[in-house]
Amino acid sequence: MGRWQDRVKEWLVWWRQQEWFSGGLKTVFQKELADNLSSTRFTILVFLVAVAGVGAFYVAAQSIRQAAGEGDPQFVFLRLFTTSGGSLPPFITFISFLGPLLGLALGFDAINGEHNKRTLSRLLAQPIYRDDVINGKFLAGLVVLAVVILALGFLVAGLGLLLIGVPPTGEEIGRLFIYLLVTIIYVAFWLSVSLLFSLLFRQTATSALAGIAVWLFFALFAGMLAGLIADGLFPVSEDAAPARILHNATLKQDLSRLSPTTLYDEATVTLLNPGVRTLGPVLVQQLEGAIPGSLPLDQSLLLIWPHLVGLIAATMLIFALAYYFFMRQEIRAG
Amino acid sequence: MPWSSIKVALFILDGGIALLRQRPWLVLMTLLFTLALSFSPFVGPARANNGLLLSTAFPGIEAQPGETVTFPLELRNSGVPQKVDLKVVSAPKEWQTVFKGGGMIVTQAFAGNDKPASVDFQVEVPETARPGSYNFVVQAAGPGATSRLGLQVVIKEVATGSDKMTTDYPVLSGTSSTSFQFRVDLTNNGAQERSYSLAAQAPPGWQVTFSPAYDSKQIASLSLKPGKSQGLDVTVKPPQGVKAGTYNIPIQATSGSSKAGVVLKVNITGNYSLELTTPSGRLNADAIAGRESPVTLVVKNTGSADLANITFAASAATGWAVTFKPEKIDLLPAGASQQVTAFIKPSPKAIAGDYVVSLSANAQETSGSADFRVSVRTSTLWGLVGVILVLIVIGAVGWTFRKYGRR
Repeated sequence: MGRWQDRVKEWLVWWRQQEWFSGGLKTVFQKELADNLSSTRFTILVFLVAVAGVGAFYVAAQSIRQAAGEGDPQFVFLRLFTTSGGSLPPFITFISFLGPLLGLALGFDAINGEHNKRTLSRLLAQPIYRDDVINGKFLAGLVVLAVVILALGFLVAGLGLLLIGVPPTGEEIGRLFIYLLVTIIYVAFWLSVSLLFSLLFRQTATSALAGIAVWLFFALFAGMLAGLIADGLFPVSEDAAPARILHNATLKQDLSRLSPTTLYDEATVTLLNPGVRTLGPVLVQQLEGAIPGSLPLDQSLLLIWPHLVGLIAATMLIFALAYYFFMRQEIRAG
Repeated sequence: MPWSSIKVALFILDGGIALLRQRPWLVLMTLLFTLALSFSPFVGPARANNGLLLSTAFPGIEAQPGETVTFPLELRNSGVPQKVDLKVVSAPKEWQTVFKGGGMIVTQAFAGNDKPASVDFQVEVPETARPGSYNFVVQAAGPGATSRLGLQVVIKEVATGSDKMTTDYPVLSGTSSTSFQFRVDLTNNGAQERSYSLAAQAPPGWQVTFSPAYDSKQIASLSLKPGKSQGLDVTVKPPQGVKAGTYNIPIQATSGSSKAGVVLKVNITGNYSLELTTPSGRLNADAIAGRESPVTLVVKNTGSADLANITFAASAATGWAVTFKPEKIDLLPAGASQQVTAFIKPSPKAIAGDYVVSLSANAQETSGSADFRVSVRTSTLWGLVGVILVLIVIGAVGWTFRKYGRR
């Protein structure tokens, strides 16, 4: 035990010495930040996401105002994010669909772009450590994404305050804030994926396409594939036994939860809709005596805690993989 | 010896006849005196004296306290027509008397000689009058003639039961929340119209109201013609929370000294009522899935009878367990309350959120129940597992940094 604590302490000392007091990380971080914020493709993407989000939000606000007085007035502020108005999907769907693009756009040419411009060897010739390059790039991307998402979230929240005039309660603010944090983690996942691809593929176009392919696969096809596999293993006919139907539904959900998109969608729906009490198949006997009501924030968090753990772990693991590849990579001046 | 007495009687008769023969004026005077004495105003009806004669058909009347007795007087005049003063010569103390004629109170009457003048003499019998005979003397005095008339009012012992109050169903039974309706008949057996005031001697808190049969008016008194009877509805409302038992409610109709009454009986059967609540009245509770959480309950006996052997039960979803401590209450007196603790244990598989759990207290006679809103929370154990997982991942990444960093 003591030995284990010693090692953690030793590692922390090392970390502080190596990372925070070396000037390389800071330099790379600042340079990347400036590059990202001034790049045209980033401006275009942010504009696209912002317009889509604000548009969906505005339409939702209109339909909520029309329906004012009907139904229960609980969590009106949160419903701004989950209500779909007319033909436009709700705000969270737009963010869930377009958010990954932001992450992919920031990272797909992080390393191979430097390769192609033949600047990586020049960069590494400077007195900076090699891991400062990848850490700095990832951190800069993360900070830019956090800034964009928080700005968009608070812009929309302020707009909601203007449009419906109902101040959010403390719990609503808490839920909104956690929603934005989860979104940052989710987008960071895609950032680390694109960072990995930019290491694996020499061509920026290839890594961009690979990133988009993975994104489309998880966003669109993972759910269908999960359904196909589940139906193949447990075919459900019309007069199937309830146990088989349950198996089918459970397997389908478990498979689709391998996709970070599913994890993120379930997490955000639970966060922004306090009425969600469970995710997944429910037996009738579990519903016996249950009355509709909203969950407190901590219970909602507990419900999606596995999702959050999965997202954080996946992000870190993929980044660790990218880090590993980058450190092992042979970089020659060419 | 008989012979001697016969001889004495013959002697007296002989002497009387001799007296009549020798002193006829003396005998006449004696006879006149005797007659004058017997026709004096102190005894019997007035005699035509100087042409005036005051008379009535029934000089003696039987009455009861509180009544008004009327003597119709007739005044005949055989002499010259004259104005006559009417006067009460003697009357018992505190008896109100008055002469009435033509609807007015009169003090004088005019006595013509063609037809008699009629005057009513009214006597109000005081409420306090005791049984006995009471004599009055009234006098009609004109300038040339005077006539006196003696009248008598006799008060007999009060005959109870002369008025009657009867009911067919003197005992009614019901619960403490029942409004009891008795039907009572009141009969006036007297000779005159009477006004009765109605009253009831109920225990404190009881409400007794009277109303005529088939009428909703509440009345406090009523008037009855002689020989008539009237149905009365007597409504009796017991106070709230009255104990079970039999209660007597005497009711009475009083008119002067005449009283009629009947004792009504109300038999309150115990009503049973049980209430289940919490000391604060809040009916919600928090529980963690798979763990017992205590809820303090209060069992109240809100009925009017004691309850024995109160047991508890709960209806909750499958997989839930609800136990009570104590498991049963042997005896809970009326109005008393007792605390009971319920341990609610949601199913370990329960989904977080709100559930309805219905708890009930059951006695043989009645039961009380309360619906609880139980907010189920799930255990934070898996959350901790997640935190550990994240820490492991961070450790792994850190290890990667250490192993491959700084090249």
